[in-house]
Amino acid sequence: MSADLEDALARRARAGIDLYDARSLASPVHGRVRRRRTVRGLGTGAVATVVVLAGALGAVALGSASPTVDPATTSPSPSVSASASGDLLPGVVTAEDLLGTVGGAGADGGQRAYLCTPAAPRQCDEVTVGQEPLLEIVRTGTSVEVDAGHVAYVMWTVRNAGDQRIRIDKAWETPVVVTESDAQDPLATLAGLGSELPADPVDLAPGDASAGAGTIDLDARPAIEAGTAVNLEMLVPIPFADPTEKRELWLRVTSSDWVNAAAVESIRSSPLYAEDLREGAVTRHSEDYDLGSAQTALDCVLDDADNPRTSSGGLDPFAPRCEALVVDAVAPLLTLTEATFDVDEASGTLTVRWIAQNTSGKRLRIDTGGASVAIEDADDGSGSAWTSMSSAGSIVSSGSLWTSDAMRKALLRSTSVVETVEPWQLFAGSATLDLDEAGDFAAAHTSVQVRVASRSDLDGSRELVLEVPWNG
Amino acid sequence: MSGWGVALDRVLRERGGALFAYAYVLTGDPHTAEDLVQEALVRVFARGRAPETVDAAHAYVKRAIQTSSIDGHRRARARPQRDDRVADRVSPDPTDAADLHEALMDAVLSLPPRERTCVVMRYLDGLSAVAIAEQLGLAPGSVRRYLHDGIATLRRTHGDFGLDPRDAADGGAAHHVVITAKGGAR
Repeated sequence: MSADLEDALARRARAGIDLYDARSLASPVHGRVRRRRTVRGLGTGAVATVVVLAGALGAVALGSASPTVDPATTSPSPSVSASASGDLLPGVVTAEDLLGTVGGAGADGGQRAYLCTPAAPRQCDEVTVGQEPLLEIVRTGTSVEVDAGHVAYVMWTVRNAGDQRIRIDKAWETPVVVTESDAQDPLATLAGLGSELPADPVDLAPGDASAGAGTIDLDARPAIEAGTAVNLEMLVPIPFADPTEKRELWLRVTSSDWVNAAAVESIRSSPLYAEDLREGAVTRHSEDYDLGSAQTALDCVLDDADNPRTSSGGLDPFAPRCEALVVDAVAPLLTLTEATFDVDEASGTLTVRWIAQNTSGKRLRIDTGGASVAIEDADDGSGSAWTSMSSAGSIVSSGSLWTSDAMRKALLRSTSVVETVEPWQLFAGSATLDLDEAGDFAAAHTSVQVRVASRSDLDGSRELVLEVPWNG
Repeated sequence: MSGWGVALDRVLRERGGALFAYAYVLTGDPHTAEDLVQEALVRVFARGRAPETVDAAHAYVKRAIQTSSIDGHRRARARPQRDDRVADRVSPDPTDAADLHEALMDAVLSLPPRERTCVVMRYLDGLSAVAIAEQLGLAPGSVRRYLHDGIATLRRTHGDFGLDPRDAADGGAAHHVVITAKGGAR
């Protein structure tokens, strides 16, 4: 029987009503709300400027190494691809537009291209399109690593060098390796591709870039040893607006920069797991909030049943209190290269889109599909008075996520997509939050929490979550 | 007066008593309860858009009271510590209902904040562990454990009061029905 307890609570509640004095509450609450709303209004206006400036400064600081990029993984798409669809958007350059400017092979200006029949093997005509180069290779986003000279692992970044939006097909961006002694023939490469190309159209705004990675089998070619100077070219398909068009238009994007092929061990070594990162980790304290370039993490020990990822019935997100750690005091393992905050007043939502990059120089085994956006008031040392979380990957706190001097909250979700993220590879995600709960998000501290997989990832009793701050 | 000001006054007038009473049950102290309600009201009404209805405001403020209560950091000094005594019980006189209720409330207030908040939500609001977890942003398994441990502590330290830890963890409703009564709703 619990009737006595229920009666006791109800009696205490009735006694509370008798003690209530509305006058003593109304005046201070009105004053505090008025001040908070005034500060909030000022803060939002000021931060709107800061966000714009941060984007500009970020572009300057990152230079061409980390432009606004499209992720190379299959993680949730960033904003650049959100507008891509089967319909032609006004102002987007398509294959028809380029073929209207076509010149013969070797024409001045413009960009070299191949106009091909779709049948295998392809029959291609070399042409020049446009008046100026349309796409360019970003040197710092390009690398070639070779495995015993016979397999090359290539990463690339292609940027829109023009002044109009251009639509590319990411699914078939194709690298071509050139050395001083040997060069792949682009036509032979095209002829060897499959006949049915899956489409993944992406619109690149001027200055935007698309990153990708792939493998080239060199068995039929001379070996490329580590240290060999390599020039990378890219073949990038430009879709037609007309869906019935069978021809293909490929831009040939070349670069005057040569890179040295590196030995593959650096990327083919075993990826880092949570167990590896815990080794050498040190406790982080709340007063160490701004650790500059250090990589911080949250080490969460919990009952297996409380982990939404491993619990059979647990679909609800869970925010346990976790030990705050520094797993690398020198450099961040992950870095946010872009974050956008889109407010939809009509639906009362805030959508945060982010792109992160593996800046560790090592392979990381991380949960790109289970990452979360965390918004907190970093200056509130009193801890979290109000924490809201969603299964869609967000945790918002009216205070800070610190719960004690060395403990912070992490968000654990049921969603999980574990991938090996290569050095310098990008991955992306987004979260949509209730605008009211997001509060004064522009003045708050935003970070992305990314779980690191364990070697025994079916065990949900302990999780390591990297914290990746947005410093925009 | 601004829109939020009108809404705030209406909430204070129509639901202030119930919200204060709820905080009083959680804290056992009128001054701490007032601080808790004040903090919750500020958090809800300082946001961009104030709740559009009194019921919505009531729900938001109550939730803020509950989540503040489980953290309990602002009331750390007043927070009772876990009582690990065994069989050192306050034996209520079963013939005196008032004594029994006072003893029960003393026992509830001796619980750690999370256990206390979950017990109040379970037995005052009639919520299930799953519903409590949803409101507090905790895992259902954690809430079941708080309820189980809370009731077990009450039994161990203050007498069993006919309470069953398993019923505490497994009973209750999925949703709270706002009951309008004298002095407001809860």
